[in-house]
Amino acid sequence: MDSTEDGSQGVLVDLSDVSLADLPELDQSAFAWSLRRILEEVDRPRDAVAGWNSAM
Amino acid sequence: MTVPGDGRGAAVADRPAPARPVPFSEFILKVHSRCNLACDYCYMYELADRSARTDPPRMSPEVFARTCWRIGEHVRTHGLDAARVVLHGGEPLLVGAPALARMADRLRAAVRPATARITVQTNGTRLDEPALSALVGAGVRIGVSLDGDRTANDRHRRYASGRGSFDQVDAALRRLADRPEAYAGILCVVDLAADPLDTYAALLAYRPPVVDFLLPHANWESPPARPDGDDTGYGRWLARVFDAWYDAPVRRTRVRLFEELINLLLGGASRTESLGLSPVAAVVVNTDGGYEQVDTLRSSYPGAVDTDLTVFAHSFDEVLRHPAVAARQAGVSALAAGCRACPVHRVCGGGNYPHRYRAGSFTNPSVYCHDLRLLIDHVAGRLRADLVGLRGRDG
Repeated sequence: MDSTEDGSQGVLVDLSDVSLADLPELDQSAFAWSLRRILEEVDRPRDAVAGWNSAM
Repeated sequence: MTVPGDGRGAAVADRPAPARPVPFSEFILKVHSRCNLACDYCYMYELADRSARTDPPRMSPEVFARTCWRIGEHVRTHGLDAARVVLHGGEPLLVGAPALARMADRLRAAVRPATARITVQTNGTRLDEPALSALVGAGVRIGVSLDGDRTANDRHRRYASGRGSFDQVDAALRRLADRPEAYAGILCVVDLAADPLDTYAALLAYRPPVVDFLLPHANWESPPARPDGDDTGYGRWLARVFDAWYDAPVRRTRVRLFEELINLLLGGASRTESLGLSPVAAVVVNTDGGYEQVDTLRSSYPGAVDTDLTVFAHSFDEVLRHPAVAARQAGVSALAAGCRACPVHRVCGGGNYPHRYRAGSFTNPSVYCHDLRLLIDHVAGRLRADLVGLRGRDG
């Protein structure tokens, strides 16, 4: 979980006790896409850099 | 050649630098500084810094050649596999699509054996069939700016005569929707006067692979319009669009803002400068060959983008060492003390940097702080509710 300078808990969503195995393979919702993305980043971490906001 | 900058980038020069700079991987080339539209919120021509009015209209062959060489140098120095290049303006298609296609070829040659992913960000008014074919043929992807339906778009995105731009952009996006290999997406600036769901539906009609919603550039010196005085109005507007996007059983488009927000809430990192604390890896080369910080800073104060460095005399590595550029890679240490104490600071990242400006400093919360907080809490609530369902399924 995230914390502030004074140690208070942040707003990050805790996935630690969630099994994602049951996420339907064909679920194409935004929620499912988001979970797959974070799992992929855990499996294959890469340097995160911020791109420019004013272009696609 | 004009001399870029006048040393007025000092407002950000007192910021801590990261231990090791992250190399640039996104290069924004101002190939034409003029625009055939006169949008009333344009950060290049209508907000605090209007120096673009006196920049050379077009990037010269000499500046472009030197810029290609510098990008290649940077890519090789850091062993990058790929570079992203945005051909931007003003309006980049004012140089002509065939010229942009030739630029793309030269940029690719300059970075080999690395690859160059090249995008044009256009207002769409000159994206006729020959222009589209030329860009598609050169492997250039195209992002278009559109603010929703005719009424919403033409409220701000008008020609100098006052005529709206919707008809031309509508036609361009219909063409582009049939060329998915070249379709980068649509940028939409949030307007509280427009209905959020109507706006989202209008964008979806063009089948964009990606949409992004941008908050209008504003800061504490020049606050955003809030007709009803609600300091969460933009957050509420975005939350309504979020629900429409999130509740669709099949995701109809990607929405960059929402996807990055969710990823941050799940403990990941952001890839956009508008949220999170990832180091900014984007740099601008102006038409005169001057290096600039991301040019949206023009919305804050005159000279905010200046580095006093130029492609003819300085490498991109020297730009990385510029204090104002390094500040954008400093992560949490660059935030205001009040932000660091806030429970959502790693998600909002202090908000988009230009939106933090007040009285000579960027060490402030975003002028959209309350909007961002509302949106973050809303999205976190939706995620937690869905994860309860997932836990239930597992149990």
